[in-house]
Amino acid sequence: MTGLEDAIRASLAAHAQNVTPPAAERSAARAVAVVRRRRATLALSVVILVTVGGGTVPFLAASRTSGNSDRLTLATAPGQLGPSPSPAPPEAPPTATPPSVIPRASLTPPKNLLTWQRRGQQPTEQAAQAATAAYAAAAGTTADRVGLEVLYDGRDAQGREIVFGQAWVQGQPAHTVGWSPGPTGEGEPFIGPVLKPDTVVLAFLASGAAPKGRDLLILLPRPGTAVTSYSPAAGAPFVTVASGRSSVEDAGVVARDPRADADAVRVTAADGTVLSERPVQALLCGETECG
Amino acid sequence: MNEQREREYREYVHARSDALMRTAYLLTGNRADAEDLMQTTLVKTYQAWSRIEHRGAVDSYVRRTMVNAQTSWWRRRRLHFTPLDDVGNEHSRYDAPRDDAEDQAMSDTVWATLATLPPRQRAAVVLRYYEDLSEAETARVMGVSVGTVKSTTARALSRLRDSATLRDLTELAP
Repeated sequence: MTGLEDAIRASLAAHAQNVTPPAAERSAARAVAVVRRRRATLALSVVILVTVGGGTVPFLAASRTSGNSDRLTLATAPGQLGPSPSPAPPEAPPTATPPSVIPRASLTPPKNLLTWQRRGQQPTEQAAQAATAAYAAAAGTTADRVGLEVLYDGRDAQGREIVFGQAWVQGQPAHTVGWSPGPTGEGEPFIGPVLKPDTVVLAFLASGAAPKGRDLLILLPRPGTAVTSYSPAAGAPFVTVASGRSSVEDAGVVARDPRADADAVRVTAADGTVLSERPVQALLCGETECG
Repeated sequence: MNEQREREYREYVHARSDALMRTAYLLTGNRADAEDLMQTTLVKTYQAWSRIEHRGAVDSYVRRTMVNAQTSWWRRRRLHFTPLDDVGNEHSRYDAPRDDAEDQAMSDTVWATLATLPPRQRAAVVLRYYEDLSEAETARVMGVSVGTVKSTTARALSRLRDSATLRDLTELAP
């Protein structure tokens, strides 16, 4: 326990004690009234649609109902969330690198979307759906408004799938996202910073797939860069962990000390020019936002 | 919802509203937004009440709903971040009890610096240091990985450490 942590606890406790809550009965009554009013409005809408639209009513009614229960989806198994997988059209020709974006014709890719080639394997639909659903839940929206582009798909030592890429909500910039097995086997989402178009390396922190007492830091350098290296502490030498030259594999994997706060990543070009040298924390959190 | 369920809901709110309001206040930093956040959370909880099978899981559900509502991008768009001067003024209205001037200065500075954190960092700090949740529990509430909780909390603490005033006060502290 540090002095700073003690000071935070003391400050939060002191300020929390000074809040006078509103009357509980009034708060509960207001919540009940709001919900009843909404349901009455919805019922009225359905009646009108029955009169006007006939067969479209069940779809519309179901849509509204699920919109009211978005938070419940957090308790559901992630793989069960999101829209049904969109099957590829039978006439689609095979391609060398299958598209990694969850196909949603209505979603416009954001301007900051990285156009890197995907590395690793083709992500399974289940993992992509889970990552999409987790991002949607964290963003407070629904999976059908979320786009996902997988930049890396791999397996941990137990053969469990790890997905790493970009996700965005319609009309919003893309973030770094990851999906990995948690300590108990259930999926863990990672949501990193808003991406910049000139990003040189992406970082993703997983906990469940890592050796005991370590986190798994996955580094994905921009294709075409030469060497990606990692320094575990201030002043410690950089060790090569990946190369951006390969178009197939080469995500760097580091068993990171969870207490590390001065570790850094360096990416160099073929001529040795340093393209980026940044603290890991900055890669994980971005400049102004974190998680 | 039948009468029995509604009665349970009202009993829950009656028993937990003080604690919920405190957490909402710590998450938002001001009373008006806290009341708004709490009401939003109670509405969502009432909507979901009949689907929450285990009553023991209600607190967890409510926390998750509150944090999601506060940190969701839609809500964040509407929020204005309270200037530090306002934080000081607001605090003085509540007149927190302090052992001495140094503790009060420390508490006020921490509070003011917390107000400058982005919503997710602030939520992580409140859940870890006020609600006393573990990293795994915090991750479940925030809907993110344990790794994200670690990095988010570390980032928040780093920001707090970078506060010159706070650094001076921490050095002064015994």
